[in-house]
Amino acid sequence: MLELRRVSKHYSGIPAVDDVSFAARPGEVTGYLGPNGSGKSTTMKMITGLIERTYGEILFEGKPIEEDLISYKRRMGYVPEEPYLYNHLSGAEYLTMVAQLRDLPPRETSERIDGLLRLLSLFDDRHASISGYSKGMRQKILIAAALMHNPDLVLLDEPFSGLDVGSALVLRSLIQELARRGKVVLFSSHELDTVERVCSHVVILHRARVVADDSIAALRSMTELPTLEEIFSQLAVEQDTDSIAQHFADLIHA
Amino acid sequence: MREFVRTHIARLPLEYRVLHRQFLLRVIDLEALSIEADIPRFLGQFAGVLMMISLLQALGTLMFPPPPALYWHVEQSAVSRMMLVIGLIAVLTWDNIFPDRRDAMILGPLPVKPGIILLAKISASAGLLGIAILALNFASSFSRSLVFGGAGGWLGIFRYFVSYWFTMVASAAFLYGAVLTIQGTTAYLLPRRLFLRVSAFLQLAAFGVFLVAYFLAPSVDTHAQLATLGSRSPLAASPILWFFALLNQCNGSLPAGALWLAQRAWIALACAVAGATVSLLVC
Repeated sequence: MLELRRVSKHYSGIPAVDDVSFAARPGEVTGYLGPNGSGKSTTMKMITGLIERTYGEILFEGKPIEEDLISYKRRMGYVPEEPYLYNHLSGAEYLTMVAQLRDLPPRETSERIDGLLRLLSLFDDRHASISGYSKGMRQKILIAAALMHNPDLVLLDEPFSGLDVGSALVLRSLIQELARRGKVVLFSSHELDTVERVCSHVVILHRARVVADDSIAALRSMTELPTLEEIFSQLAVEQDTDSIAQHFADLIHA
Repeated sequence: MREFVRTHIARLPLEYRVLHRQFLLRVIDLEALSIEADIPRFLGQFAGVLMMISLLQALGTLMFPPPPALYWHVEQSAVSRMMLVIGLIAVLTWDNIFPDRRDAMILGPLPVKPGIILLAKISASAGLLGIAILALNFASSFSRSLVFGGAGGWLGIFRYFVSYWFTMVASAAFLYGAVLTIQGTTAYLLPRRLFLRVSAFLQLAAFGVFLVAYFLAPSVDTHAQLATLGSRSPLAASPILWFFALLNQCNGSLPAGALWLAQRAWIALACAVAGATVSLLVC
Protein backbone atom coordinates (compact mmCIF):
# COMPACT_ATOMS: atom_id res chain seq x y z
CA MET A 1 0.00 0.00 0.00
CA LEU A 2 1.12 3.53 -0.75
CA GLU A 3 0.28 6.00 1.95
CA LEU A 4 0.71 9.77 2.12
CA ARG A 5 0.46 11.35 5.55
CA ARG A 6 0.00 15.12 5.79
CA VAL A 7 2.34 15.75 2.86
CA SER A 8 3.05 19.37 1.92
CA LYS A 9 5.32 21.07 -0.55
CA HIS A 10 5.96 24.80 -0.31
CA TYR A 11 7.73 26.97 -2.86
CA SER A 12 8.93 30.26 -1.34
CA GLY A 13 6.36 29.78 1.41
CA ILE A 14 3.49 29.22 -1.06
CA PRO A 15 1.92 25.75 -0.78
CA ALA A 16 1.86 23.74 -4.02
CA VAL A 17 0.60 20.73 -2.06
CA ASP A 18 -0.95 21.31 1.34
CA ASP A 19 -1.49 18.68 4.01
CA VAL A 20 -2.38 15.89 1.59
CA SER A 21 -3.20 12.46 3.04
CA PHE A 22 -4.57 9.42 1.23
CA ALA A 23 -3.84 5.76 0.62
CA ALA A 24 -3.64 3.77 -2.62
CA ARG A 25 -4.22 0.05 -2.10
CA PRO A 26 -3.03 -2.95 -4.09
CA GLY A 27 -5.59 -4.37 -6.47
CA GLU A 28 -7.33 -1.06 -7.09
CA VAL A 29 -6.74 1.91 -9.36
CA THR A 30 -6.68 5.18 -7.46
CA GLY A 31 -7.55 8.24 -9.52
CA TYR A 32 -5.79 11.46 -8.59
CA LEU A 33 -7.72 14.41 -9.97
CA GLY A 34 -7.60 18.16 -9.81
CA PRO A 35 -7.63 21.29 -11.96
CA ASN A 36 -4.42 22.66 -13.50
CA GLY A 37 -2.03 23.85 -10.80
CA SER A 38 -3.78 21.98 -8.02
CA GLY A 39 -0.62 20.01 -7.15
CA LYS A 40 -1.15 16.63 -8.84
CA SER A 41 2.19 16.44 -10.63
CA THR A 42 4.01 17.87 -7.62
CA THR A 43 2.56 15.07 -5.49
CA MET A 44 3.58 12.49 -8.11
CA LYS A 45 7.13 13.85 -8.16
CA MET A 46 7.31 13.67 -4.37
CA ILE A 47 6.12 10.05 -4.48
CA THR A 48 8.80 9.18 -7.04
CA GLY A 49 11.46 10.92 -4.94
CA LEU A 50 12.16 13.47 -7.69
CA ILE A 51 11.46 16.39 -5.36
CA GLU A 52 11.66 16.61 -1.60
CA ARG A 53 8.58 17.39 0.43
CA THR A 54 8.45 20.21 2.94
CA TYR A 55 6.40 18.28 5.51
CA GLY A 56 4.77 14.89 5.92
CA GLU A 57 5.55 11.26 5.26
CA ILE A 58 5.25 8.95 2.28
CA LEU A 59 5.14 5.24 3.08
CA PHE A 60 5.21 2.21 0.80
CA GLU A 61 4.24 -1.05 2.44
CA GLY A 62 4.47 0.66 5.81
CA LYS A 63 8.04 1.97 5.42
CA PRO A 64 9.07 5.57 4.71
CA ILE A 65 10.30 5.63 1.10
CA GLU A 66 13.54 7.39 1.98
CA GLU A 67 14.53 4.52 4.31
CA ASP A 68 15.80 2.64 1.23
CA LEU A 69 15.08 4.84 -1.76
CA ILE A 70 16.97 2.66 -4.26
CA SER A 71 15.02 -0.50 -3.34
CA TYR A 72 11.80 1.52 -3.43
CA LYS A 73 12.63 2.82 -6.93
CA ARG A 74 13.32 -0.73 -8.11
CA ARG A 75 9.68 -1.55 -7.33
CA MET A 76 8.22 1.62 -8.83
CA GLY A 77 7.30 2.49 -12.40
CA TYR A 78 6.55 6.10 -13.31
CA VAL A 79 5.10 7.64 -16.45
CA PRO A 80 5.81 11.37 -16.14
CA GLU A 81 3.59 14.15 -17.41
CA GLU A 82 6.43 15.66 -19.47
CA PRO A 83 7.97 13.30 -22.06
CA TYR A 84 11.66 13.63 -21.17
CA LEU A 85 13.75 11.15 -23.19
CA TYR A 86 17.28 10.98 -24.58
CA ASN A 87 16.63 12.05 -28.16
CA HIS A 88 19.95 10.81 -29.51
CA LEU A 89 18.94 7.21 -28.75
CA SER A 90 16.55 4.96 -30.66
CA GLY A 91 13.47 3.59 -28.90
CA ALA A 92 15.09 0.16 -28.46
CA GLU A 93 18.35 1.71 -27.18
CA TYR A 94 16.47 3.84 -24.66
CA LEU A 95 14.58 0.85 -23.29
CA THR A 96 17.81 -1.17 -23.16
CA MET A 97 19.47 1.63 -21.20
CA VAL A 98 16.58 1.75 -18.71
CA ALA A 99 16.65 -2.06 -18.39
CA GLN A 100 20.39 -2.01 -17.73
CA LEU A 101 20.00 0.70 -15.10
CA ARG A 102 17.29 -1.42 -13.50
CA ASP A 103 19.72 -4.35 -13.58
CA LEU A 104 17.39 -6.64 -15.53
CA PRO A 105 18.94 -9.83 -17.02
CA PRO A 106 20.10 -9.05 -20.61
CA ARG A 107 18.58 -12.03 -22.47
CA GLU A 108 15.17 -11.72 -20.83
CA THR A 109 15.28 -7.95 -21.32
CA SER A 110 15.90 -8.16 -25.03
CA GLU A 111 12.90 -10.47 -25.50
CA ARG A 112 10.73 -8.28 -23.29
CA ILE A 113 11.71 -5.09 -25.13
CA ASP A 114 10.94 -6.68 -28.51
CA GLY A 115 7.61 -7.90 -27.18
CA LEU A 116 6.66 -4.53 -25.73
CA LEU A 117 7.66 -2.69 -28.91
CA ARG A 118 5.53 -5.07 -30.99
CA LEU A 119 2.51 -4.67 -28.69
CA LEU A 120 2.86 -0.89 -28.82
CA SER A 121 3.24 -0.89 -32.65
CA LEU A 122 6.73 0.56 -32.39
CA PHE A 123 8.72 -2.47 -33.54
CA ASP A 124 9.27 -1.17 -37.08
CA ASP A 125 10.57 2.15 -35.69
CA ARG A 126 12.68 0.60 -32.94
CA HIS A 127 15.97 1.64 -34.54
CA ALA A 128 14.85 5.17 -35.47
CA SER A 129 16.07 8.07 -33.35
CA ILE A 130 13.60 9.25 -30.70
CA SER A 131 14.09 12.80 -32.01
CA GLY A 132 11.95 11.73 -35.00
CA TYR A 133 9.18 10.15 -32.92
CA SER A 134 5.70 11.66 -32.66
CA LYS A 135 4.27 12.64 -29.27
CA GLY A 136 2.27 9.42 -29.11
CA MET A 137 5.32 7.28 -29.92
CA ARG A 138 7.30 9.01 -27.18
CA GLN A 139 4.48 8.38 -24.74
CA LYS A 140 4.50 4.68 -25.63
CA ILE A 141 8.25 4.52 -24.95
CA LEU A 142 7.68 6.15 -21.54
CA ILE A 143 4.94 3.62 -20.75
CA ALA A 144 7.12 0.66 -21.81
CA ALA A 145 10.07 2.02 -19.78
CA ALA A 146 7.87 2.43 -16.70
CA LEU A 147 6.37 -1.06 -16.83
CA MET A 148 9.05 -3.32 -18.32
CA HIS A 149 10.44 -4.35 -14.89
CA ASN A 150 7.01 -5.45 -13.58
CA PRO A 151 6.76 -2.82 -10.81
CA ASP A 152 4.60 -3.23 -7.71
CA LEU A 153 3.79 0.48 -7.63
CA VAL A 154 2.64 2.12 -10.87
CA LEU A 155 2.46 5.93 -11.01
CA LEU A 156 0.80 7.33 -14.12
CA ASP A 157 0.76 11.10 -14.62
CA GLU A 158 -1.42 11.94 -17.64
CA PRO A 159 -0.49 8.66 -19.37
CA PHE A 160 -2.99 9.13 -22.24
CA SER A 161 -1.33 12.31 -23.47
CA GLY A 162 -0.76 12.08 -27.25
CA LEU A 163 -2.04 8.50 -27.61
CA ASP A 164 -4.36 7.58 -30.47
CA VAL A 165 -7.74 5.99 -29.73
CA GLY A 166 -6.55 2.41 -30.19
CA SER A 167 -3.51 2.84 -27.95
CA ALA A 168 -5.58 4.67 -25.34
CA LEU A 169 -8.03 1.75 -25.20
CA VAL A 170 -5.14 -0.70 -24.81
CA LEU A 171 -3.67 1.40 -22.00
CA ARG A 172 -7.02 1.64 -20.26
CA SER A 173 -7.36 -2.14 -20.23
CA LEU A 174 -3.73 -2.49 -19.19
CA ILE A 175 -4.23 -0.25 -16.14
CA GLN A 176 -7.17 -2.38 -15.04
CA GLU A 177 -5.23 -5.59 -15.68
CA LEU A 178 -2.28 -4.36 -13.59
CA ALA A 179 -4.62 -3.61 -10.69
CA ARG A 180 -6.22 -7.06 -11.05
CA ARG A 181 -2.75 -8.55 -10.72
CA GLY A 182 -2.30 -6.87 -7.34
CA LYS A 183 -0.31 -3.74 -8.26
CA VAL A 184 -0.80 -0.40 -6.53
CA VAL A 185 -1.85 1.97 -9.32
CA LEU A 186 -2.05 5.73 -8.85
CA PHE A 187 -3.42 7.42 -11.93
CA SER A 188 -3.65 11.14 -12.58
CA SER A 189 -5.65 12.38 -15.54
CA HIS A 190 -7.97 15.10 -16.79
CA GLU A 191 -9.98 12.56 -18.78
CA LEU A 192 -12.82 12.07 -16.33
CA ASP A 193 -14.65 9.52 -18.50
CA THR A 194 -11.60 7.28 -18.44
CA VAL A 195 -11.07 7.82 -14.72
CA GLU A 196 -14.68 6.90 -14.09
CA ARG A 197 -14.32 3.67 -16.07
CA VAL A 198 -10.92 2.66 -14.73
CA CYS A 199 -10.72 3.84 -11.11
CA SER A 200 -12.44 2.36 -8.13
CA HIS A 201 -11.29 5.10 -5.80
CA VAL A 202 -10.59 8.79 -6.43
CA VAL A 203 -8.79 11.57 -4.62
CA ILE A 204 -9.75 15.07 -5.75
CA LEU A 205 -7.43 18.01 -5.14
CA HIS A 206 -8.46 21.64 -5.15
CA ARG A 207 -6.12 24.52 -4.38
CA ALA A 208 -3.44 22.08 -3.22
CA ARG A 209 -5.72 20.35 -0.66
CA VAL A 210 -7.70 17.13 -0.77
CA VAL A 211 -11.44 17.86 -1.09
CA ALA A 212 -12.62 14.28 -1.70
CA ASP A 213 -11.15 10.85 -1.01
CA ASP A 214 -13.55 7.98 -1.52
CA SER A 215 -14.88 5.40 -3.96
CA ILE A 216 -16.73 6.80 -6.97
CA ALA A 217 -19.92 5.04 -5.85
CA ALA A 218 -19.71 6.62 -2.40
CA LEU A 219 -19.09 10.07 -3.90
CA ARG A 220 -22.08 9.63 -6.21
CA SER A 221 -24.41 8.77 -3.37
CA MET A 222 -22.96 11.46 -1.10
CA THR A 223 -23.28 14.28 -3.64
CA GLU A 224 -26.37 12.86 -5.33
CA LEU A 225 -24.74 13.56 -8.68
CA PRO A 226 -24.76 10.92 -11.44
CA THR A 227 -21.30 11.34 -13.03
CA LEU A 228 -17.74 11.94 -11.92
CA GLU A 229 -17.62 14.99 -14.20
CA GLU A 230 -20.45 16.63 -12.29
CA ILE A 231 -18.96 15.67 -8.94
CA PHE A 232 -15.61 17.11 -10.04
CA SER A 233 -17.28 20.32 -11.29
CA GLN A 234 -19.01 20.81 -7.99
CA LEU A 235 -15.94 20.15 -5.85
CA ALA A 236 -13.07 21.60 -7.86
CA VAL A 237 -14.35 23.99 -10.54
CA GLU A 238 -15.22 27.45 -9.30
CA GLN A 239 -15.99 29.12 -12.61
CA ASP A 240 -19.26 29.16 -14.48
CA THR A 241 -17.98 27.21 -17.49
CA ASP A 242 -20.96 27.95 -19.77
CA SER A 243 -20.65 31.67 -19.17
CA ILE A 244 -16.88 31.63 -19.84
CA ALA A 245 -17.46 29.76 -23.11
CA GLN A 246 -20.12 32.29 -24.14
CA HIS A 247 -17.86 35.25 -23.34
CA PHE A 248 -14.99 33.63 -25.25
CA ALA A 249 -17.13 33.16 -28.35
CA ASP A 250 -18.41 36.77 -28.05
CA LEU A 251 -14.87 38.06 -27.75
CA ILE A 252 -13.71 36.44 -30.98
CA HIS A 253 -17.03 37.34 -32.70
CA ALA A 254 -17.71 33.67 -33.49
CA MET B 1 45.94 -6.31 -23.12
CA ARG B 2 42.42 -5.76 -24.49
CA GLU B 3 41.18 -8.63 -22.34
CA PHE B 4 42.90 -7.11 -19.29
CA VAL B 5 41.22 -3.74 -19.88
CA ARG B 6 37.86 -5.41 -20.57
CA THR B 7 38.07 -7.42 -17.35
CA HIS B 8 38.87 -4.34 -15.30
CA ILE B 9 36.15 -2.25 -16.93
CA ALA B 10 33.66 -5.05 -16.23
CA ARG B 11 34.40 -4.67 -12.52
CA LEU B 12 32.97 -1.12 -12.52
CA PRO B 13 29.31 -0.85 -11.45
CA LEU B 14 26.91 -1.51 -14.37
CA GLU B 15 25.01 1.75 -13.74
CA TYR B 16 28.26 3.71 -14.00
CA ARG B 17 29.28 2.02 -17.28
CA VAL B 18 25.86 2.59 -18.87
CA LEU B 19 25.65 6.22 -17.81
CA HIS B 20 29.26 7.01 -18.68
CA ARG B 21 28.64 5.77 -22.22
CA GLN B 22 25.43 7.80 -22.53
CA PHE B 23 27.02 10.97 -21.20
CA LEU B 24 30.15 10.59 -23.32
CA LEU B 25 28.02 10.19 -26.44
CA ARG B 26 26.16 13.41 -25.77
CA VAL B 27 28.86 15.38 -24.02
CA ILE B 28 28.99 17.71 -27.02
CA ASP B 29 26.19 20.28 -27.08
CA LEU B 30 23.84 18.79 -29.71
CA GLU B 31 22.41 22.25 -30.36
CA ALA B 32 25.83 23.26 -31.66
CA LEU B 33 25.73 20.46 -34.23
CA SER B 34 23.19 19.39 -36.82
CA ILE B 35 20.17 17.38 -35.67
CA GLU B 36 21.51 14.34 -37.56
CA ALA B 37 24.95 14.65 -35.95
CA ASP B 38 26.69 11.31 -35.49
CA ILE B 39 28.43 11.91 -32.17
CA PRO B 40 30.80 8.88 -32.15
CA ARG B 41 31.97 9.79 -35.66
CA PHE B 42 32.31 13.43 -34.61
CA LEU B 43 34.48 12.42 -31.64
CA GLY B 44 36.62 10.27 -33.94
CA GLN B 45 37.07 13.09 -36.45
CA PHE B 46 37.82 15.54 -33.65
CA ALA B 47 40.55 13.26 -32.27
CA GLY B 48 41.85 12.64 -35.80
CA VAL B 49 42.30 16.36 -36.50
CA LEU B 50 44.18 16.87 -33.22
CA MET B 51 46.39 13.84 -33.91
CA MET B 52 47.22 15.20 -37.33
CA ILE B 53 48.22 18.54 -35.77
CA SER B 54 50.37 16.69 -33.24
CA LEU B 55 52.05 14.61 -35.95
CA LEU B 56 52.81 17.66 -38.10
CA GLN B 57 54.28 19.47 -35.10
CA ALA B 58 56.38 16.45 -34.20
CA LEU B 59 57.72 16.11 -37.75
CA GLY B 60 58.41 19.85 -37.91
CA THR B 61 60.33 19.76 -34.61
CA LEU B 62 62.40 16.72 -35.63
CA MET B 63 63.14 17.82 -39.21
CA PHE B 64 63.64 21.51 -38.52
CA PRO B 65 64.61 21.80 -34.83
CA PRO B 66 64.11 25.39 -33.63
CA PRO B 67 67.17 27.28 -32.35
CA PRO B 68 67.43 27.43 -28.53
CA ALA B 69 66.40 31.11 -28.68
CA LEU B 70 62.97 29.99 -29.88
CA TYR B 71 62.42 27.20 -27.33
CA TRP B 72 60.36 29.40 -25.02
CA HIS B 73 58.25 30.64 -27.89
CA VAL B 74 57.49 27.07 -28.98
CA GLU B 75 56.66 26.02 -25.41
CA GLN B 76 54.27 28.95 -24.95
CA SER B 77 52.61 28.10 -28.25
CA ALA B 78 52.13 24.51 -27.05
CA VAL B 79 50.54 25.63 -23.77
CA SER B 80 48.41 28.20 -25.53
CA ARG B 81 47.22 25.66 -28.17
CA MET B 82 46.35 23.16 -25.46
CA MET B 83 44.34 25.80 -23.60
CA LEU B 84 42.56 26.89 -26.79
CA VAL B 85 41.47 23.31 -27.53
CA ILE B 86 40.26 22.80 -23.96
CA GLY B 87 38.52 26.18 -24.08
CA LEU B 88 36.70 25.25 -27.28
CA ILE B 89 35.68 21.92 -25.74
CA ALA B 90 34.35 23.82 -22.72
CA VAL B 91 32.28 26.00 -25.05
CA LEU B 92 30.95 23.00 -27.02
CA THR B 93 30.08 21.02 -23.89
CA TRP B 94 28.78 24.07 -22.01
CA ASP B 95 25.27 22.80 -21.31
CA ASN B 96 26.22 19.19 -20.75
CA ILE B 97 28.77 19.60 -17.97
CA PHE B 98 26.29 19.38 -15.08
CA PRO B 99 23.39 16.93 -14.84
CA ASP B 100 20.46 18.93 -16.24
CA ARG B 101 16.67 18.82 -15.84
CA ARG B 102 16.35 16.12 -18.48
CA ASP B 103 18.86 13.89 -16.67
CA ALA B 104 17.00 14.48 -13.40
CA MET B 105 13.62 13.62 -14.94
CA ILE B 106 14.87 10.51 -16.76
CA LEU B 107 17.28 9.12 -14.18
CA GLY B 108 15.60 10.42 -11.01
CA PRO B 109 12.89 7.71 -10.85
CA LEU B 110 15.40 4.95 -11.68
CA PRO B 111 17.26 3.03 -8.95
CA VAL B 112 20.57 4.81 -9.53
CA LYS B 113 22.50 6.60 -6.79
CA PRO B 114 22.99 10.34 -7.49
CA GLY B 115 26.72 9.88 -6.84
CA ILE B 116 26.98 7.40 -9.73
CA ILE B 117 25.18 9.83 -12.08
CA LEU B 118 27.53 12.65 -11.10
CA LEU B 119 30.61 10.44 -11.39
CA ALA B 120 29.55 9.21 -14.83
CA LYS B 121 28.91 12.79 -15.93
CA ILE B 122 32.30 14.03 -14.70
CA SER B 123 34.19 11.09 -16.16
CA ALA B 124 32.43 11.61 -19.53
CA SER B 125 33.75 15.19 -19.59
CA ALA B 126 37.12 13.98 -18.35
CA GLY B 127 37.09 11.33 -21.08
CA LEU B 128 36.63 13.96 -23.78
CA LEU B 129 39.36 16.12 -22.24
CA GLY B 130 41.60 13.04 -22.06
CA ILE B 131 41.01 12.29 -25.75
CA ALA B 132 41.89 15.90 -26.64
CA ILE B 133 45.03 16.02 -24.46
CA LEU B 134 46.32 12.67 -25.72
CA ALA B 135 45.53 13.36 -29.36
CA LEU B 136 47.08 16.81 -29.38
CA ASN B 137 50.29 15.80 -27.61
CA PHE B 138 50.90 12.13 -28.35
CA ALA B 139 53.57 12.76 -31.02
CA SER B 140 54.70 16.29 -30.20
CA SER B 141 55.53 15.35 -26.59
CA PHE B 142 58.13 12.83 -27.84
CA SER B 143 59.70 15.13 -30.41
CA ARG B 144 59.89 18.11 -28.06
CA SER B 145 61.33 16.00 -25.27
CA LEU B 146 64.03 14.73 -27.66
CA VAL B 147 64.91 18.18 -28.98
CA PHE B 148 64.34 20.44 -25.92
CA GLY B 149 65.42 17.97 -23.22
CA GLY B 150 68.18 16.29 -25.27
CA ALA B 151 70.95 18.39 -23.71
CA GLY B 152 70.45 16.62 -20.39
CA GLY B 153 70.85 13.12 -21.84
CA TRP B 154 68.23 10.41 -21.37
CA LEU B 155 67.39 11.68 -17.90
CA GLY B 156 66.84 15.18 -19.32
CA ILE B 157 64.62 13.79 -22.06
CA PHE B 158 62.59 11.80 -19.52
CA ARG B 159 62.28 14.79 -17.17
CA TYR B 160 61.13 17.03 -20.00
CA PHE B 161 58.62 14.40 -21.16
CA VAL B 162 57.06 14.09 -17.69
CA SER B 163 57.08 17.89 -17.16
CA TYR B 164 55.47 18.42 -20.54
CA TRP B 165 52.63 15.98 -19.90
CA PHE B 166 52.08 17.24 -16.38
CA THR B 167 51.86 20.83 -17.62
CA MET B 168 49.44 19.96 -20.40
CA VAL B 169 47.16 18.05 -18.03
CA ALA B 170 47.43 20.79 -15.39
CA SER B 171 46.64 23.61 -17.86
CA ALA B 172 43.64 21.64 -19.17
CA ALA B 173 42.43 20.92 -15.63
CA PHE B 174 42.83 24.59 -14.72
CA LEU B 175 40.86 25.89 -17.68
CA TYR B 176 38.06 23.34 -17.49
CA GLY B 177 37.92 23.69 -13.71
CA ALA B 178 37.69 27.47 -14.04
CA VAL B 179 34.78 27.15 -16.48
CA LEU B 180 33.02 24.70 -14.12
CA THR B 181 33.58 27.06 -11.19
CA ILE B 182 32.14 30.04 -13.07
CA GLN B 183 29.14 28.02 -14.23
CA GLY B 184 28.57 26.49 -10.81
CA THR B 185 28.81 29.81 -9.00
CA THR B 186 26.43 31.48 -11.46
CA ALA B 187 23.97 28.56 -11.22
CA TYR B 188 24.10 28.68 -7.42
CA LEU B 189 23.69 32.43 -7.08
CA LEU B 190 21.13 33.21 -9.79
CA PRO B 191 17.52 32.09 -10.21
CA ARG B 192 17.19 29.36 -12.87
CA ARG B 193 15.71 31.57 -15.62
CA LEU B 194 18.28 34.32 -15.16
CA PHE B 195 21.04 31.72 -15.03
CA LEU B 196 19.99 30.32 -18.42
CA ARG B 197 20.23 33.78 -19.97
CA VAL B 198 23.52 34.64 -18.28
CA SER B 199 24.90 31.19 -19.12
CA ALA B 200 24.31 31.72 -22.86
CA PHE B 201 26.08 35.07 -22.64
CA LEU B 202 28.96 33.55 -20.66
CA GLN B 203 29.32 30.79 -23.26
CA LEU B 204 29.66 33.36 -26.03
CA ALA B 205 32.02 35.50 -23.94
CA ALA B 206 34.19 32.50 -23.11
CA PHE B 207 34.43 31.63 -26.82
CA GLY B 208 35.62 35.19 -27.54
CA VAL B 209 38.11 35.26 -24.66
CA PHE B 210 39.69 31.93 -25.66
CA LEU B 211 40.15 33.04 -29.28
CA VAL B 212 41.49 36.46 -28.34
CA ALA B 213 43.91 34.97 -25.80
CA TYR B 214 45.19 32.49 -28.37
CA PHE B 215 45.66 34.87 -31.26
CA LEU B 216 46.59 38.12 -29.51
CA ALA B 217 48.48 37.16 -26.34
CA PRO B 218 52.16 38.19 -26.70
CA SER B 219 54.87 35.75 -25.64
CA VAL B 220 57.94 36.16 -23.43
CA ASP B 221 60.84 34.75 -25.39
CA THR B 222 63.99 35.76 -23.50
CA HIS B 223 65.39 35.73 -19.97
CA ALA B 224 65.70 39.54 -20.18
CA GLN B 225 61.99 39.92 -20.95
CA LEU B 226 61.10 37.62 -18.10
CA ALA B 227 63.41 39.41 -15.67
CA THR B 228 61.78 42.78 -16.39
CA LEU B 229 58.28 41.39 -16.17
CA GLY B 230 56.63 42.83 -13.07
CA SER B 231 53.92 40.98 -11.18
CA ARG B 232 51.55 43.83 -12.05
CA SER B 233 52.25 43.68 -15.76
CA PRO B 234 49.17 42.75 -17.84
CA LEU B 235 51.23 39.94 -19.37
CA ALA B 236 51.72 38.42 -15.92
CA ALA B 237 47.96 37.96 -15.69
CA SER B 238 48.03 35.46 -18.56
CA PRO B 239 47.46 31.82 -17.49
CA ILE B 240 49.41 30.79 -20.62
CA LEU B 241 52.50 32.38 -19.08
CA TRP B 242 51.82 30.81 -15.66
CA PHE B 243 51.71 27.30 -17.10
CA PHE B 244 54.68 27.99 -19.34
CA ALA B 245 56.54 28.88 -16.13
CA LEU B 246 55.22 25.70 -14.51
CA LEU B 247 56.63 23.63 -17.40
CA ASN B 248 60.02 25.24 -16.94
CA GLN B 249 59.86 24.87 -13.18
CA CYS B 250 59.20 21.16 -13.56
CA ASN B 251 62.00 20.64 -16.09
CA GLY B 252 64.41 22.77 -14.06
CA SER B 253 64.98 25.61 -16.52
CA LEU B 254 62.97 28.40 -14.87
CA PRO B 255 65.10 31.36 -13.66
CA ALA B 256 64.77 31.87 -9.88
CA GLY B 257 63.37 35.38 -10.45
CA ALA B 258 60.34 33.95 -12.28
CA LEU B 259 59.29 31.41 -9.66
CA TRP B 260 56.34 33.61 -8.70
CA LEU B 261 54.84 32.96 -12.15
CA ALA B 262 54.92 29.20 -11.58
CA GLN B 263 53.45 29.74 -8.12
CA ARG B 264 50.53 31.49 -9.79
CA ALA B 265 49.97 28.38 -11.88
CA TRP B 266 49.91 26.16 -8.78
CA ILE B 267 47.51 28.51 -6.96
CA ALA B 268 45.28 28.84 -10.03
CA LEU B 269 45.21 25.05 -10.47
CA ALA B 270 44.32 24.48 -6.81
CA CYS B 271 41.58 27.15 -6.91
CA ALA B 272 40.08 25.82 -10.16
CA VAL B 273 40.05 22.20 -8.97
CA ALA B 274 38.59 23.17 -5.58
CA GLY B 275 36.01 25.48 -7.22
CA ALA B 276 34.99 22.79 -9.71
CA THR B 277 34.66 20.17 -6.98
CA VAL B 278 32.47 22.45 -4.85
CA SER B 279 30.38 23.43 -7.91
CA LEU B 280 29.76 19.81 -8.83
CA LEU B 281 28.80 18.92 -5.27
CA VAL B 282 26.52 21.93 -4.84
CA CYS B 283 24.84 21.77 -8.27
